Amino acid sequence: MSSFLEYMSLNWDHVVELAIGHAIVVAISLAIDVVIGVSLGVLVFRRERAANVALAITSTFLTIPSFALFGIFIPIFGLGYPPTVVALVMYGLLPILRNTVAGLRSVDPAIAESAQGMGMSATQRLFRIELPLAWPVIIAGVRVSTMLLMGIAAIAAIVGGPGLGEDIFSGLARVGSVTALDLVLGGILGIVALALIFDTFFNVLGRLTTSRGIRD
Amino acid sequence: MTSEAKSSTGPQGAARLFRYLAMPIFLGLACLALYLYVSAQQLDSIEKRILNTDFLFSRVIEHIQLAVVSTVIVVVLAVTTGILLTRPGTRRVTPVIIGLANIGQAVPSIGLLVLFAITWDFGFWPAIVALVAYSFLSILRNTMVGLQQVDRSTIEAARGMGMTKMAVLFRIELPLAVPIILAGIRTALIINVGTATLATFVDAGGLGTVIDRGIRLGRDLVLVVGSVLTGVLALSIDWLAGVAEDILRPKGL
Amino acid sequence: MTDEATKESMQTGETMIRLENLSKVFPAQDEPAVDDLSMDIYEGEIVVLVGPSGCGKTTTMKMINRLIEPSSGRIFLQGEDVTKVNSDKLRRRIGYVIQQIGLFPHMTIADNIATVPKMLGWDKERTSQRIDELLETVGMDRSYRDRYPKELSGGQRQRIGVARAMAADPPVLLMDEPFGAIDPITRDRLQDEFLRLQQEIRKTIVFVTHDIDEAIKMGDRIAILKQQSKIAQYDTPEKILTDPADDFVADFIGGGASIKRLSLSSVEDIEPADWPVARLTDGYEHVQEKMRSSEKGYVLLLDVRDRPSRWVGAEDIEHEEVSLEEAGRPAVAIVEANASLYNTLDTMITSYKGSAIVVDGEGRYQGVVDFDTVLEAINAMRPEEQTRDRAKRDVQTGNGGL
Repeated sequence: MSSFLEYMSLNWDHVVELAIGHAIVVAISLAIDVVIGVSLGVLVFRRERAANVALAITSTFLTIPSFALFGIFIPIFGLGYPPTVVALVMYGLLPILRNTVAGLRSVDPAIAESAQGMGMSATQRLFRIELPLAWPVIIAGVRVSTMLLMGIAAIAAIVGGPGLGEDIFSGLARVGSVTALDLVLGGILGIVALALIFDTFFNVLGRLTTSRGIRD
Repeated sequence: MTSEAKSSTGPQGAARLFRYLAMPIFLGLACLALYLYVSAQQLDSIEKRILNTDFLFSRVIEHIQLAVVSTVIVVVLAVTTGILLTRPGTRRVTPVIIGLANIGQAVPSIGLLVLFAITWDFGFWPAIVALVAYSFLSILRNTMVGLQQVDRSTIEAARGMGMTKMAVLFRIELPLAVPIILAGIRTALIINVGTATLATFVDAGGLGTVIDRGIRLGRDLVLVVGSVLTGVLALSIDWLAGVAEDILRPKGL
Repeated sequence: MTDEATKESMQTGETMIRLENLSKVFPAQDEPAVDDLSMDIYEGEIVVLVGPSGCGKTTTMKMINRLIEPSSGRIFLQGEDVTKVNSDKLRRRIGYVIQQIGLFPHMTIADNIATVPKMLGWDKERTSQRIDELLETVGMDRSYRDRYPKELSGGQRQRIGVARAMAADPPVLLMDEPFGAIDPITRDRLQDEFLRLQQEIRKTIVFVTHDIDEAIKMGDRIAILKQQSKIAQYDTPEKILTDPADDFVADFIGGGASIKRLSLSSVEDIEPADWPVARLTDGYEHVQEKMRSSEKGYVLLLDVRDRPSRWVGAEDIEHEEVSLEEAGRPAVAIVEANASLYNTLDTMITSYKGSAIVVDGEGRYQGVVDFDTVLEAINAMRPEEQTRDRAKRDVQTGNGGL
């Protein structure tokens, strides 16, 4: 334990640097996921078959082992950022899509009807009524995706991607030396710490952006 | 087959059959395409050592062993713990577990594998422990949420009829929770098949070996074969689990 | 229902809404939901669409603001053919209130009400004033502006729903069972308030309900609809009750139609009986004098403000044992002048001597009605029936027609 703390204090800069890289790649992928996931959800939530197809496809992404996905992207996208981001985007899509669809469908039909009856166009209804009401559920989906991507991003190191996975693999490579365990622990704990930070952030963001009228 | 599937007459039955068969057909075609592609290639000596039936088959078996063994263990542990933690006395723990499980999803599977390898040993069993550790919280959470959803009024009716708590557990709650448990098994399988892909890094074998070698040796063909086979294996197991889930689900639920 | 004078002016008023040969066929069904419906709705009247479930009344109403598009036929609003215009824009000219209300939970009350004005581009000042106006109109305090729907009771939410529908001051309001989800006591009160409101604002209102009693209470004219929205009868409540067009209408009104008619007349339509009245301050002699000079056997004592206080009978004042304030029994069967005959009868049945005291808005004595006077009034209401019976008799006995 004490050696780990010593290691941390000595290598703080390095760990933080990796952590930032980790955070950035996750954040970028999440942002893309939100754009694609929410847009797709808006498009399909009223059509059962289209929704089922979209959900089935994105859930297949999650079934495919991440290592395989990262691997197969190397010949296509090369090393480093591109395969990492593409794979992460594919993984993070399902929770957000699923929650967008569920959230939009959960809007009380009476509310949607009265909005339409008052003369709101479909676009106005979407942005002023349906999305704001579905928002808490959508944010919950974003939080799930974040946790998923945090863990999976560790594998990115294999394809030369950024993040704390690098330390885990370094630790693996140096098995037997004193620093191996420290490196691995640093990697794991760094990711967990990042996860907590991101989760808190989304928790607070969710509260702030959710109208008081629908907060429990 | 369940009574639903028996009524497979007419367009409804045909649609259901198609949905069941869509995946295996797709996977079969993928394998066929892969096979044809590889056969058409000129393999160098390195590739030949990897891309042969024996080697690949052994890796597949290793992979399945890792996945199945870890799933059995984690389901036993998680369901038991889940039952224990949803008793009236312990129910308050549920939100804590859910919170932990949510964060726990962020713990990198590769991290756990390497951690156990360094602190204990490389090889099959430490990998199993890591796999169990990784999937435990998810399955636990799903089990607890599922058990909680068992309708309170059903239990109340049962207690009102004079059933003991144990009887209620075994004759009401567990049977009603079977779908949840089945879903949990399926989820665990999928998670563990995925994590087992990384087992190669701790000398536990599996198809990840093929992928890894493809990367390290710079052989794209090997890499592609490894990735595709892994994906096919994962989707096949998922499909099988889904079919089993449908068959085993009690009627009336 | 509105008073006679206004009713007259309504008949000659503009046609606000005209439905011409409206039909609606839903794809999955063989029979049309609405079959060739034509009706006119005049400016400022409340028209109630009422009928059994599935008769298409809600579908008909929703075709007016084209939430459901007609399969054929035309709709005219203020003389303009709106069958094909942009439906979103059309709906901003029509207020719409539904049973479940549909307030937007994530917006404050003020924002809810401001929805249509905002869409129409009103400036903030005007909108804010309008919100205050409306809150006052529906009887709610300005402090509700910043509350959220979840903080309001069902009755309050319904009021806000009505306020929201009226925000942009549309000439027409469509209301689909607006009081259906409220408890009966609140519903009664809301209906009364709404009728009072209508006296002020004079909107053209199309009101859908399955409750014939609500229809009778609220409607200036009622359209009783059969399956596929075929009109069985489209007339004033009085005419429907006294002269149902066919068995369907008669069945729909149900038993007690005649009694229901009593809810359409008010007690001020009746000549009150001649009843001996005195003041508490008059003293025993005066009261005994009154008692002797009338045949009624009971005298009503009023307080200093002319409000009915006590009933005293002959035995009560014979011996002058107690003061007038404590003699006899308290007068409790009291109705206001605008109470319906229905409610008056109800009060009378439980009263001591089968009579009800009529008072004005301030509680001051107006007169007394008893069963005799009410019966006389009911009989006088039956002139049409008597005319019909007489005509029938004449035909049968061979007397010449009138």
